[in-house]
Amino acid sequence: MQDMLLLMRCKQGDRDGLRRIYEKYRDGLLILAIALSHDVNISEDAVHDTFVKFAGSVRDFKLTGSLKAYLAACVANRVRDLIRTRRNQACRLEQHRLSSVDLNDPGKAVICNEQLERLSSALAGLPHEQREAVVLRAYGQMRFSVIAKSSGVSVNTVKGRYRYGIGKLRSILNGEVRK
Amino acid sequence: MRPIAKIKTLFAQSNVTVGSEADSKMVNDALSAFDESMRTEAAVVQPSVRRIIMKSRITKLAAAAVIIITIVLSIVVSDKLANPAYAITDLPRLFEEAKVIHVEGWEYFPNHRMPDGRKIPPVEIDDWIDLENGQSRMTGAGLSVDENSVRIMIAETISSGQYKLSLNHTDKNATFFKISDYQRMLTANRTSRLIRGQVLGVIEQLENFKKVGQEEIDGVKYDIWLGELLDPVRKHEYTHRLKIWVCPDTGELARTQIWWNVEGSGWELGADYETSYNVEILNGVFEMTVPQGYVAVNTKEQAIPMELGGGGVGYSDDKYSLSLRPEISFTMRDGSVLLGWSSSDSKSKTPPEEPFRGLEFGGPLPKLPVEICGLRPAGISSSVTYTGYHLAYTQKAGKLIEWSIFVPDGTPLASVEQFGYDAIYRFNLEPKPKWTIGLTAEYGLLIETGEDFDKWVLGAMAELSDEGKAPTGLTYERVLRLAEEVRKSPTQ
Repeated sequence: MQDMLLLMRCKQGDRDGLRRIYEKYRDGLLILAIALSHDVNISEDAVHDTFVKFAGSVRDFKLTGSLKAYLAACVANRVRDLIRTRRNQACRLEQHRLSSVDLNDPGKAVICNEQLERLSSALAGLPHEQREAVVLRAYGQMRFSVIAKSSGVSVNTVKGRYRYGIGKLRSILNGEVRK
Repeated sequence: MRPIAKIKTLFAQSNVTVGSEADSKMVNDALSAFDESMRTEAAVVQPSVRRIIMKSRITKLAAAAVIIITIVLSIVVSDKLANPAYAITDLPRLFEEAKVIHVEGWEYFPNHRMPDGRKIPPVEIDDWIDLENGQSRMTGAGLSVDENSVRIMIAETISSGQYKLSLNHTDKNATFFKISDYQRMLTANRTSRLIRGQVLGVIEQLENFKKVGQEEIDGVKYDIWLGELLDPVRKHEYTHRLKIWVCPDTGELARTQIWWNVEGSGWELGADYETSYNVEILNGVFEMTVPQGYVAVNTKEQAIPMELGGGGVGYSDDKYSLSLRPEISFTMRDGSVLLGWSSSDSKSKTPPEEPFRGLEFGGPLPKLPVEICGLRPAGISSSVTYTGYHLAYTQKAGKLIEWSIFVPDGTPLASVEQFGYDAIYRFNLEPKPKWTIGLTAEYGLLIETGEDFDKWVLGAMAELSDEGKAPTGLTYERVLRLAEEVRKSPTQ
């Protein structure tokens, strides 16, 4: 069902409409968040917070572009905030390795496949701003102008971050191949 | 491979598995936030009169206020007569005798201020209910408030004939909805019941209701009465005052004010209405035209069909994608409940018709993924349990709807009319999802005769069927007989 129709149902108070949006975008947003944060806990929180906020304001929500891009931008912003908050709490991200997820406890959290772990590890080598530009462009298929607006910087800055990020990824991925 | 192509490939191959606990938390918290936002006073696109009345606390109080007038009328009449002329049960009838109700006035927002500290401007209300012809035009107002801004939202719903036009005056758009004849009848009946229900609900809440003065308006003397109401949500404090102007001779209401007890500043005016009955309806009140400058989301020809049921719950994890939805419910005169409901698992490979094969009238319920196997009175502790039996099933647009009767094992409580029934459910799944459902079925319409049964129950079955027909062989007498047999059976 199209996003517009689902949104209309949500605005009418239909919980099922909201549930369908959640089901449609949950996994994609989690992948995006993990790629951005390299941290399943932060990712889970970011996607959780994004959906809760979206659900609480859906009645007044006006879709002007793609819902996927909108939610992706929200998750990216939330990831940025959470990373900043946790950094301030002196909580080193490296302590939350993806591999620390208990695979024997499926009720507990989010489990990533091998490709996502590789992706996340490769992106972890980039500064967050560059990572965000690459991920939103590559996965969210967002235009530079939209990423710029969402990040609160100029289009040229986003293009620069993207170019530097891609350059750095080339060497990271080449190194991975050589190994 | 270019790095961006490799990144894209890795993204395409990436996958996550979300644990059931994490998933439940995310979806349940989102749904709670959704429910909470829907409970607030804002009304952007609200398709039904009933929903507007239910969702807006002020409108709910306004409806209550109108009813209080009727109560006051009875007090006044009782004062004048040695023997009270009205029994409390007569009061709804007095209200229902109105053919047209017109409410005009202002709604205020005493609990909030503009960012610069000024009062928020009030919203004008001009509501019309044509009970005789099933037409209405209702306004809903609400606020969206954050640290830096206050947004006043105003919506109007015009219902007439087969259509509802929802006008969003804030975003300036208009959406048409199409309602079936059955839904129209149901809405009219529910609105009337809602009003009646408010009468009894409010009576219990009234305390310290007394005459505080007199005023002459347009040459007519009115008594002024003041009463206090418990908060309809928190129920532990008097947060609203009602002030009403009633003519002691005729019982006619001239004015209603609702005052809010605002923390820090005391009683502030929340609404000021003038209500009149059986007035001439102005031309164009129920006309469904999109105002100039408004964006039409659709046209009348493209009107979105309104769904019969409402709400429902869902759950999803790596194994299941479940939904459970009560479509419509009715209460029989013997206290049994008729419930149309559906349950599905979109990840299941079992054909959806499979659980319905071989079912018999009066036999066990279909083993749907989530089975509503019983009911109990909602909102109150009770030992009465309702056990479910299969009656029939229908199919509409690929969805299968089970029609069941739930027979109580004791005397039904009067409170069910107000609070409805909590669903008792079981999972016919292995492993069982870690999912807790809070699902309530409404009391619904009271089915007292064979005519009611044919009109409402069989009508609902036809409405939720691709063929537009109810299953054959179902009659009021047969269903009542089944309930009677169940009650007499030793297991019951």
